[in-house]
Amino acid sequence: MIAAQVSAQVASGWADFTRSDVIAGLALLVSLAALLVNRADRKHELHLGEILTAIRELEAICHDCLRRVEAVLLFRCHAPNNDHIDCHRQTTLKLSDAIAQGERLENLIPCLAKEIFRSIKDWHTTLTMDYPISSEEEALLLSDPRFTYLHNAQRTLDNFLSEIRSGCLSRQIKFWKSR
Amino acid sequence: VKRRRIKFAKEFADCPGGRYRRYGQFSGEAFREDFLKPAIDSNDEVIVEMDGVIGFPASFLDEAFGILAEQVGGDVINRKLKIELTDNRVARAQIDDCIRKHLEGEGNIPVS
Repeated sequence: MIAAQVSAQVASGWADFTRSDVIAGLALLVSLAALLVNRADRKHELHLGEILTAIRELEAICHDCLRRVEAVLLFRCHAPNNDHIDCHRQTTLKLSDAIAQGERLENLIPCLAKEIFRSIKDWHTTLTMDYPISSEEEALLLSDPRFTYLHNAQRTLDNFLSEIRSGCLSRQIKFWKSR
Repeated sequence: VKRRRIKFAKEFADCPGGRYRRYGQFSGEAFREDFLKPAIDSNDEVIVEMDGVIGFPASFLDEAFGILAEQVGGDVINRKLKIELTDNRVARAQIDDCIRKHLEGEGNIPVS
């Protein structure tokens, strides 16, 4: 009789323990899932932030390149202690920065890598197709139609980057709506 | 096989210039006339090492490689010219573009 009572007690205790364990386990799973979702959201946010920053930096570098290329073509880049060859060298370095920044953006958005690469290449080709000149006699006039080509190339790149930016933002909105 | 290896940055320039000699030092015209064309004419294979250069204006590449392709033809370019350029994908693609365009007769029209 006593043995049966003890046995029932143990069974009941075991049953209680199992139930509370299941509840605790479920709670743990729920909080783990919430943590994972939170981390995924955070990662998603960080990735978007990285992309937008990379685009902004690329735009800034490219506009700086355009300004420098124009200055070289107009033979107006003489900063104090800076001769024309230095200006060309610094502009070339800046153009390389733009290419490197384009590669960073490609790595952040691999599905658009080809388009990003092609856009940067086309922009660079147009900007440097008549670049550089080396003497005042060769300098372009402000009215030269080639400056229009340069600005068109910049506008094309700007539009492309704007499309990427708005595409990313609209995907982000869809993502948050689906949460 | 008679081979010539041109180390661009060391033998020519680490920051090449524009299209024509009259636009200053290290032009595409100078590179083609003084390095590329003579090397192609007197060798079976010409390897141009182009890594380590700050950057290449498209005008330079077009005048050096595009006009060379026009002068010697696609067959010679394919057979003899090898370009080693791994640190500037844009310039590598531009070289291919200008060779192709000049061989197809739609090269960029240089401003004289």
